[in-house]
Amino acid sequence: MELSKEQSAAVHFEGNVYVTACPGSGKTRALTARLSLGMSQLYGKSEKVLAVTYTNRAAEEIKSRIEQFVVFDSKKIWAGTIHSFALDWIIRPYAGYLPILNNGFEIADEYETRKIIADLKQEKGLGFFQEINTSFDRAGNVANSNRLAREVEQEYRQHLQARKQIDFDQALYFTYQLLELRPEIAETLGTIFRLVCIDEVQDTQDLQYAILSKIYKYSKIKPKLFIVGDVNQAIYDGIGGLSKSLLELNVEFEGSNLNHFKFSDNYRSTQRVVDYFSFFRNTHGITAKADYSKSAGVIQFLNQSIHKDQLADEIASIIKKELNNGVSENEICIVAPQWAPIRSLTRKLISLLPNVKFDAPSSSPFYGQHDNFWLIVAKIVLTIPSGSLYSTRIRWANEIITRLGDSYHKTSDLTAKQLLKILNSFSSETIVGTDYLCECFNYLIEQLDIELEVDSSLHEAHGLFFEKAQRNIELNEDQYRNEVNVFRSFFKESTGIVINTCHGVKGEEYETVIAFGMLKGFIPHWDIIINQTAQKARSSESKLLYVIASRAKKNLYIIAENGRQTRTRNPYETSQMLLQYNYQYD
Amino acid sequence: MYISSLKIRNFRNFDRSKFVFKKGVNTILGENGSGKTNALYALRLLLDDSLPRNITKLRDSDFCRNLKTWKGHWIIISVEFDELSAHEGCQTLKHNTGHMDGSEKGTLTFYYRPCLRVRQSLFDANGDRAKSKELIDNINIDDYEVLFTGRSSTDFLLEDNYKNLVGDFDTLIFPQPNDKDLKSYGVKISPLHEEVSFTFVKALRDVVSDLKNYRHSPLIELLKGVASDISDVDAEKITNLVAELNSNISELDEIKQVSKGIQDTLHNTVGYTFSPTIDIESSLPSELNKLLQKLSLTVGDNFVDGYSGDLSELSLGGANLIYLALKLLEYERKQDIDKAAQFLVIEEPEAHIHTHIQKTLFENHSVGKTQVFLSTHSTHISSAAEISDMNILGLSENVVDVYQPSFGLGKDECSRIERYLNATRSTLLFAKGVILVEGDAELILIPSLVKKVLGVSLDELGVSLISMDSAFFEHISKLFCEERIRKNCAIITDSDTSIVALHINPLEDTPLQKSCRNSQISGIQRKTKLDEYVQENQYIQAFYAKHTFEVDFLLEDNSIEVIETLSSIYSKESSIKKSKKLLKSSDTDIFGIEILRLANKEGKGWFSLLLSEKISSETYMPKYIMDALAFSCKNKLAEPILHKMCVYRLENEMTLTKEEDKPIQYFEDNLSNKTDCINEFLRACPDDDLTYLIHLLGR
Repeated sequence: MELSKEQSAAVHFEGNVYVTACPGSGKTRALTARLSLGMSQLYGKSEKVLAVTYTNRAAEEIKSRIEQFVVFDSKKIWAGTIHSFALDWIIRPYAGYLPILNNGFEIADEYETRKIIADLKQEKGLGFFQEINTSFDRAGNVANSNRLAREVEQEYRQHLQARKQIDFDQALYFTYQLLELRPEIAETLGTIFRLVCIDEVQDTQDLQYAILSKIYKYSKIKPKLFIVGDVNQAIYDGIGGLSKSLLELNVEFEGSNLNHFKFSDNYRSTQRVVDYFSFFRNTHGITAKADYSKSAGVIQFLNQSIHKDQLADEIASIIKKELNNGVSENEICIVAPQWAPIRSLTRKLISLLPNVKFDAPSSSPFYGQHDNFWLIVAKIVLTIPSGSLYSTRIRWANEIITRLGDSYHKTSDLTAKQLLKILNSFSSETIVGTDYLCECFNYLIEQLDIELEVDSSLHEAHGLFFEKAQRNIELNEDQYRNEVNVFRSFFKESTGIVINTCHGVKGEEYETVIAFGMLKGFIPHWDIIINQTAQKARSSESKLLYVIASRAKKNLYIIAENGRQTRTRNPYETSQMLLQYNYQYD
Repeated sequence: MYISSLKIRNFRNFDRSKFVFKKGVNTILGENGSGKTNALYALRLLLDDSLPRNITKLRDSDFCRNLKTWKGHWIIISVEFDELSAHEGCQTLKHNTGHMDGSEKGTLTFYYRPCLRVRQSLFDANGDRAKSKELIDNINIDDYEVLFTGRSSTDFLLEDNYKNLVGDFDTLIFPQPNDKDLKSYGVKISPLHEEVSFTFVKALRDVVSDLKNYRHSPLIELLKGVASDISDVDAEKITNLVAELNSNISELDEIKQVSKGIQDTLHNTVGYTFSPTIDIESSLPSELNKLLQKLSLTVGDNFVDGYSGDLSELSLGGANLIYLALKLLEYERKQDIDKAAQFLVIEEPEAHIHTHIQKTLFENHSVGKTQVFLSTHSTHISSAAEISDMNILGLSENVVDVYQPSFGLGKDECSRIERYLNATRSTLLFAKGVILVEGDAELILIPSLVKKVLGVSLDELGVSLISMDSAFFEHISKLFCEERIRKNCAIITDSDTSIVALHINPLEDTPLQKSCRNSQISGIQRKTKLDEYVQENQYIQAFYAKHTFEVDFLLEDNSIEVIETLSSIYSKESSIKKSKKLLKSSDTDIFGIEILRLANKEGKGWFSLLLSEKISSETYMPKYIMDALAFSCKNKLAEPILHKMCVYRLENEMTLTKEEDKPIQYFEDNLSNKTDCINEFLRACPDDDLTYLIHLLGR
């Protein structure tokens, strides 16, 4: 892997490293290179490198990049989110040490937890926008501003406990507790993970810092640290993301003596785009170094000139123009701050551009189901065994076997291949998607002799799967039919125009970015500004704009549509910052 | 890291047993069939990755026969690790099994248990006995699942724990399977066989066939690694020069290294004088990979230069040596790979090498991360090993009990006992029961008394008779208690009550009286001390001769036997006559003094040898000896043995039972009903010594 000078300096530095990287500066590239280097330096087969990423998708990306240039040994690396790390390496192995976990537990489904909280809020007469904090601080407190909110949180937790469930916030807090109660756990993990890489450190929550720093603190022989982040892209401060300065990081990771490296070359965008987004966070001085850095591209701002009802038509015409200019579908991205307007826009675009493919995760019947056991079964039965998917399907099959192994001893003899054979042998006349899956699940239950009554969590997941699928389909009415063939298309390699939220495209890059909903109250969301100082709100707004604008390689369309109204029937205004930006748009 | 204990519940002939191990060399001692192989197998199930993976799927015959029915029960085997630090390749083991409480201990547990469906249905049936019984009856071995966990904190050998966590088979109450209780059962993990290196050397009786067998030969295992080390150039050269292959291959360094490795190990093991000369040769091969697999060992000896022959020409002992050497080399090669620990398990090393080499050999191999486990039934090795390394298997009525003879004993105490246990004395570690005696007289006379009076040998009874200086009684008998060897130990000693009447005033004593008084005083002191010592311990009991062994023997009306020895002592008829008269006296101070005089004259040992020749079925056995014998057998003997004794008595002269009163006819008529025969014997011969003994044996 080829590294630039500034990347190479950080990757090959002997000590601990903290990199602040501007957008497009090859952060992931450097991280991947450091992980590969770390893997080659491991001694003994028990040692590993750890990559803590913000999303599971980022972890997959890192793994597949490493695979491209070193002989990949999955035993030498563990990559994933801090939540999965906590569950796999601390909560599950050491659950016996916490009375609340000792008798077994499940991770509560996020959709379920949201529903429980919503119901409780209604019961208590709390408004829809009343925020309920469920995350813990290091002392184990959950801070909520008023009595009713505290009650909701407590009753919600009682609710979970009665079902032997814990949520992600608890997972983090219990992890922290375990590490504090039994420092030997942290010490042992420290000897296993000889290199700890933390990606997107700016979005890390306080308790997550605490967990990682405990491992560092108790290690007798300290692991190497490689921490990467960009304060300017800290767009998760609404949900506890906490960006720390070099000084603060050095306090957190006591004795690490982190060395600061700055990546200020951009390999993604044209100089024009770079200069444009630099305004939002005052990061002037970034040099564009991509081959096409000199090309002009398009930077447009459609301020209040388009009514929300014409938005789809306008975006459709932009897309047509871009496609005519030779931009490929998967190099175009439509981005907005919230899901709601994205859903309706997606529906309209699909009918306006019937020949164009879209990759819109929100519209899938399987949206929000990634932790559901039955989704894995669905994935296998809805994909076709082919060369590129072969190893992935084997991995899925193994996931199923592992999960079943807890309750059904006969599956412990089952191999992934045998399981795939069983699922491949399923056939049905029905073309209704959900019916087809239901029949398939029943077929598997019958073939493997699974008694659903014995395993309540599997049973519950089964119910939830169809409940959510139904709900997702209803939310996306007209957009696609509840048919097997349509279902299959959701698992095809994602190609097509991406439609996602600002948070969903974090870390991604596209030749053309079309952003709409650039309105005050959308960026950032009311929730975040409502109880904050003007300064904080402005900071959030600038970071979101910075992230959105810096996704574009060449072309950027910013839309602040009109016609949208707040709940109090006032029209939404254009983002203040965009208004104040005196830029010569095309 | 090392294994500090192995606990086995319900597996094969282990009902509930705990083995205690220490760093370095450990010995598992036991008679044949006591379960040594099963114990090692239990260890291998958990840690030996050379066993096929599906081997952990057990069979119904693997459940302990002591269970009324195996159905519903769990087989639980666990090992405890100690000095488990998170370094040196132990990280994974620590992460999976460590207790994380500062103790550096870890626990790995293997469960063979009914699957969730069965456990759930048993729980649901709690309170409904008929239903529970039906469910248990319907359990099939296919309903069982294998589970490995780490960090279990429960001792399943304790009945209460077993009842709570597995189920109570009396009340038919079973635990709720959804209460995972991870702390007690441990957290589910993948098997950890790959984390340690495990070399198992089985007790081979026919090594040559194993060496020649392609699949089992340890040589092939060693050569596997070599193929990839040979360079392409060399490989091509070989293929081109097929004609000269034999010599070429012999010249390859890689092969030489293997042969040198074997030779070196041999030299280190037995020295230059006794080790055979090793060479590796090839018969016509074709491609490199197959080539190497064709290599075979040839052997020669040091005295005929240049001769090398086929393995089958080797003596059995020589083949065993080579087999062991190959295995040890394999084990040394494995050491290079980073593993949490090395375990070397050798079954019956006496099958491979002479005992006197064993100790040095295993001590040499127990350095660093290696822990050695030996199993043996050899008393020779047991005298060479230290009792602090030992786990002893004792079989009684088909159940194995495992003892740690050194439990709780100090280092000095252990080594003192070890020094005392020479090869013969160490039999006490194996015996079903032990009788400790004071001197040669008892050592010679008691076995012939048992043999001639009862018609069985002490060996048949499983009783070990050991002579012990009285000072050692305490030390050796310390081995017998609840925590160490749970077998009975009878101590036979003298009270030394004076045989002559003593005045009230010691100042008036004659020299004889004075010496008798002194013996009596020290006898009383000794008795008080000994009684106090054994009082708290149900496994030890002391049995006293009123005076001394010889006097008490005579007291039992055995003057005939003693008189018969006189002709071997004296040639003059007058001396015989004189002595005979004294021996026939009914006064203790007369016959007592006389027999002691004779014993002193001939030497106690020689005299008892003479006496033992005269013992017959008509000899009376002193009561306290029978008491001791009964106690050492835990007051229990199998019916066939009792029957055999009865028959012996009836077939021989019995002083107190007339020939016509003997129930011989009854015995002949009721051959198959031993119980009735024995009862008939007791009825017909109420005054016989055997009747007395049988009554002591709880009938």
